[in-house]
Amino acid sequence: MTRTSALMRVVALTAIYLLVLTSLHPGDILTGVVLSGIFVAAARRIRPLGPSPAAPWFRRLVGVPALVGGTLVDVAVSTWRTALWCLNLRRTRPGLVTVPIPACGAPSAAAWGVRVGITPDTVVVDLDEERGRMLLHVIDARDPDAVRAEQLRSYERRQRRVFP
Amino acid sequence: MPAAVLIPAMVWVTLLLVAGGLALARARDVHQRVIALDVLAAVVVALLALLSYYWDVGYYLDAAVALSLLSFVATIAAARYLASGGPFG
Amino acid sequence: MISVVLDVIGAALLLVGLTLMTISLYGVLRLPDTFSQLHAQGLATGPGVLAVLASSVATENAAIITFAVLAIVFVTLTSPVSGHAIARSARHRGRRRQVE
Repeated sequence: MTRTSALMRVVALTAIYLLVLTSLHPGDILTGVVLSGIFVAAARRIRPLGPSPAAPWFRRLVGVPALVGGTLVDVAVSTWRTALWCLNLRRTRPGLVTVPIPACGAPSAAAWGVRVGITPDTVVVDLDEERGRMLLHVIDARDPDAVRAEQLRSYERRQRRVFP
Repeated sequence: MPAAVLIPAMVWVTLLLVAGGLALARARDVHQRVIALDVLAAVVVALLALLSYYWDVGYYLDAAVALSLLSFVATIAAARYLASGGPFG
Repeated sequence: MISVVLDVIGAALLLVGLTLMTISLYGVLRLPDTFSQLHAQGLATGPGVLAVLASSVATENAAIITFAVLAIVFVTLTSPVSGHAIARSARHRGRRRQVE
């Protein structure tokens, strides 16, 4: 872990601490910085979480709006589909589909899992980032190739710039 | 938000709570029971959020955040227990 | 004026969230197998709760909105993980049954 990423972790944890307290007193800020510093230092000793993606951080930051907005669109579309399916208005056969994903590190695998798992029509059953495979349970498994193409396309459009 | 919206919403969520209890009772195996408990936790979080909007105070949402994190940890522990026979195995 | 618009947005989000929760409970009650129920569960624990929490913009209370944003971030990160955990353990169990 580099020094900047440790610093960013401290800042993020302090921000969460201040949000929970909803205050900006100097004493609270100091307590938050000390607490999150201790947490980050302790977490370093437990287990390293693999290297973060190599792309420069400002270029990754530019892709964040597309990631969040695109994921919102995905969630809306799949919520509509799943709601119709639950109400039995659209009969499809659910099943398991294996999707090949590009081999990546732990942060990108986490992004894959959260981005695909938050949409209700796909449930991540297994994710193997080293071999580049993801096992999904989808509500419409009649055409596995269409599912694979859709997942890869939404990866290219939404996630690739932030978590390659 | 006007009370004319919030009161019916709270009544609705309370009915959903009853339906969640029914789902819990009707579950056929342990996984379905865990799923029903997860949905029940989501319904209670929504009820706490509505109470916080109604009384216009923030501290019901403290309880909502704590409850959602607790239900997350409980689900993970139960799933690990069922998959491997022990919560840490 | 703005507060009326916010009220309408908040009420609409509330309606969407509660409808999604109702559909999800209906699905959990009706669907027979665990994996199908997981999709119905994802409807309530993901978009349903998020819509109800997002309707906090109508309260115009900074403390409530801050906490709702925090809750939205937590729910977004935790709900896929709990669904994945249940799915994985259900699959392990199904395999073990087949082996025996």
